[in-house]
Amino acid sequence: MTKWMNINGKRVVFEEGETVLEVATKAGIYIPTLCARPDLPSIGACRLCIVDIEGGRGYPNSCTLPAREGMVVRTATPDLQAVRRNILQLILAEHPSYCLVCKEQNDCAKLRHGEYKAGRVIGCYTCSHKELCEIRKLVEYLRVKEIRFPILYKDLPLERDDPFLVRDYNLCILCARCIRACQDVLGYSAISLTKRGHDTKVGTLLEVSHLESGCVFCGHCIDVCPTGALTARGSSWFGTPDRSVTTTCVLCSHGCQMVADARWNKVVNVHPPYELSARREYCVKGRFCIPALMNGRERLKYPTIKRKIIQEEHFPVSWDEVFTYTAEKLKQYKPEEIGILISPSLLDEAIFLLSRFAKKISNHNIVYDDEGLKDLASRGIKVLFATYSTKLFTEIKDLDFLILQDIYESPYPNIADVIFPTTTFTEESGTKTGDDFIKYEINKVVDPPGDALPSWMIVSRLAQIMGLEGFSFDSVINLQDEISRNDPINVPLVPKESFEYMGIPISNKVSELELYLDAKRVLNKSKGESMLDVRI
Amino acid sequence: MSEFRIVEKEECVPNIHKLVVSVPKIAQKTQPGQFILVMVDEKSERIPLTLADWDPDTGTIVFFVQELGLSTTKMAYMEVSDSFYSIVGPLGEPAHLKKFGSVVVAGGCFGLGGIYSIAKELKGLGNHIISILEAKNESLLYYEEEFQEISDEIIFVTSDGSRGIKGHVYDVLEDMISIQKRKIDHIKVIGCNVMMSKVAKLTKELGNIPTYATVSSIMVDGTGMCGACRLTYDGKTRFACVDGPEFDAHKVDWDELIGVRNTAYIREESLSLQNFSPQCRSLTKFLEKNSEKESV
Repeated sequence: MTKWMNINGKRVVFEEGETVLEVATKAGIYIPTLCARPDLPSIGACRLCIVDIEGGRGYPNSCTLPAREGMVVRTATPDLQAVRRNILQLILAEHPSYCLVCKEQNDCAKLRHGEYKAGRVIGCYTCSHKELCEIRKLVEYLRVKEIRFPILYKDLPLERDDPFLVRDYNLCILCARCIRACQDVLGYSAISLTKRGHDTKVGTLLEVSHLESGCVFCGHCIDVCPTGALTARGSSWFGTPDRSVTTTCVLCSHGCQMVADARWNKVVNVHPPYELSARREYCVKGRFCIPALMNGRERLKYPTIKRKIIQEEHFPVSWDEVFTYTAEKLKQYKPEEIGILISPSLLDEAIFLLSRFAKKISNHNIVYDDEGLKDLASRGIKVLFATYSTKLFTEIKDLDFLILQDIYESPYPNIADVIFPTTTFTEESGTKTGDDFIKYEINKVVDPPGDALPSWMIVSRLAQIMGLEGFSFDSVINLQDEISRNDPINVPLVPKESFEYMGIPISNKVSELELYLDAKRVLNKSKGESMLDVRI
Repeated sequence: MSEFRIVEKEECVPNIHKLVVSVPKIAQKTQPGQFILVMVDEKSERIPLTLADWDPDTGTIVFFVQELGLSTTKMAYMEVSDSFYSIVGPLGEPAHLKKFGSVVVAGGCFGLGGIYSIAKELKGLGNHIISILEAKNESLLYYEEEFQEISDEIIFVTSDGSRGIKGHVYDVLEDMISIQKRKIDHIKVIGCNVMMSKVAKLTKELGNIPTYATVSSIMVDGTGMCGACRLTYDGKTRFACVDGPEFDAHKVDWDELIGVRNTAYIREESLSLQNFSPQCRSLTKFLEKNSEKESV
C-alpha cells in the first residue's frame, strides 16, 4: 500500500523507513543542512534541517525523523527560518567568518575571486574552499547579514605533520561527516570526536599522528568536509577550477572513476565524483598523486634525435623529421631483429595499434614487462621500440637502435636514439580495459605539454610514413570502431600495489608519496612487518 | 659563508610569524624603512621583507612574515637554530622622516611589523604619533605592547568590530579628518596594496594630506637590475627596490601594481605548491618517541 504524507501543502508518497529529509529531497523540496549527506548515516549534528510537524512538540531534525503516514510537515515557516538563522550564527561564531560581516565583502570578492594562498585560513578570502563552501551557501539562503555573537578563533594548531593531509580544525563545525565516512562507511575508525564539551574536536585516539592511527589516506574525509577544514596539500589554493572532467584512473587496472579539476590547463586536483565520494575506497596514488605526477617539470615536450656534433646529444626536431628518420632506420632491419616493448599502462587504442604494428614489422610477440624484454634480448634483437624506460636497455648486447616513447626523461642512462614525447591519461581520450575486461572511458582533461602526441597517433603516423596499410585513422572514434571489429588483446593487468606509471616510479615525481612510503616502511618495520609491503 | 641563524621564532597570530635572526652586519647598518631579501634554501625565490626592529649590540634583526606561498611556507616550517640560505640587506632608501608634527602611522596584516620601526623613529624625532592598527579580528592583532610604548594615541580597527572600531584604516582616517576635523600633517601606511591604495585615494580627496606608503611588490635582485619590482610613479617607471620602497602614495599607479604587476606570476606561484613536501614531522616525532621508549 502506498503511503502518503504532506510537506508544505504538497501530498508526497514515501516508503517505510525513509526520513522526512529523504522524502522532501525526493519531492524536490529543499531543506538546508550541513551535516546530512545521502551516503552517510544521519546523526543530526547541525540542527539546520529542523521542520515543523503539525501536532508535534518543538522542531525535530528531519534527517533523523522517520516519515509517518499522514504526517503534515512544514519546512520553511518564518519561525523555523528565524531559529535556523540563530543556529547558523552560532556555527559562524566558531568559524573564522569575519569576511561575511566585513563591509568590503563585495569589493574583496571581485579582487580575490580566484586563487589565494595562505598558511591557514583566517577568513573567507584566504580560503581555498570558498566557492564550494556549504556554509557560505547557507548564509546566502538564510540571508544572514550579521553575527550576533562574538566570533571566537579557537587557535588550534594547524595539523600538517602528516603526508598529504592538512587539517585546520579552527574551521571545523563538528558535523562529523569525516568521522562517519571513515568509521561507518569505510570501516577504518582512524578519527573520532575527542574531548568533550567546548573542547570537542575531531582527532585520533590518544592524539597520535594519522600515520599511526590506521588512516589509509584515502582522502574521503576531505571529500565530504563541508568547510575548508580538511584539504589535500598540493591541491588547495587553485580557486575555482576552469573545468572538471570525469575520467578513469589508469594508475592500476581497478578502474576507479574520478573527477579531474583543471586550472590554467594543468590538472590541479583529482577527487571522486560526488556520488562516490563516501562509498568507494580510493587509494593514495589516485587520490593525491596524479596532479604532481602529470605536471612535473621534466616532462618530455619535443621529439628528439640523438646526433653527434661535438658529443652525442639529443636535439629537438619536428615530428615529421623524427618519423622520417625512424622509418628509414626501421626499414634497414629484418623482422626478426625488431622488438616491441609495451607498457601495460597505455590506453587500448595505443596497444591495439602497437600490436598491429608489431605484426607488420617484427617476427616477435610484443612484450609487456622486463621479463619479456630479457627474453627478446636473448633472441638477438637489434632494434627496440620501447614505450617505457627501464634500466635493462643497457644490458641488451646487440642493440643498434632504440626508439623510446616516454613521458619523462629517463631516470636510467639514456641510450635512446630517438625519443617520442607522449601524453599521460589526463591528456588524451580513449578507453582502457581494466579488471574483468570492463572497458573504462578516458577523457581528455588538459592539453599535453609542448608537442607531445597521444601514443596511438605516434604509431599511426610512423606506420603511414613507413608505407604500411591499416594505420590511417583520423580520429580516436574511427580507431575504436576498428578495435571493436578485432579480437580483444590480452593485456596484463596493473596491480593496485604497483607504484609505477609508464615505467616511472611515482615516488620519484611526487615527493609526498616518497615521504609516505618511507614513513610507512619505518612504521611497518617497527611493527615487525615486512619493510616493502606497503598496503594502499 | 656566513650563517643566518634563527634565534627566536614565534607565530604571533595565525599566519604571521615573528622571526629574530642573527645577522650583525645588517643590524649595525639598517635605517628605518629599509628591507632585506631572504632566501630560505638554495632553490628558493628571493622575497623582500621590511625590517621591524634591529639591535646593533646583539646583532639581531626582527622581521615578520605572512605565510602565503611556497617560500613563506618553507619559512613557517623552519625552527629555532635553523639557518637561512642567504639574507641580503639593508636594501632600499630609508623612509622619509623628520619632524612633521602630528603623524598617523597605519598598519594592517603583515604591515604592523614594518611600520613599527618607522613609528619608533618618528617618535624619537618628536612627532605626535597616532597609531592605527588594523586586523580582521581581535585574535589577529599583534605587536600591541610595542606600539603602546611609542604611540601617543592608539586606535584599533577590526573588520568584524571585535576590538575597537569596526571597519578599516581608511574609515578611521575619514572620521578623523572630515568629522573630528583633526589636523594631520603626515601619514605613513604599510599593509596590503589594496588597503594602501584606498588610503591614498581618501587622503588625496580630503585635501592632499602627505601620505607615504611602503609598497609590496615582487622582487628578485633588489639592486635595480631585474626590473621585477617596477611600478608607475608620477607617470614614470620606478623600481621599488632602489627608488623605494617608500613612495608618495598619491603618485603611485595602484591599479597597475595590484592588477598587473603583483598578479603576473600567480599561476607559477600556485603551481609551485603542487609538489611541495615538507619534512614528515609526524614520522620524526614517532621515531623520537620510539627511541625514548627503547632507552627507558
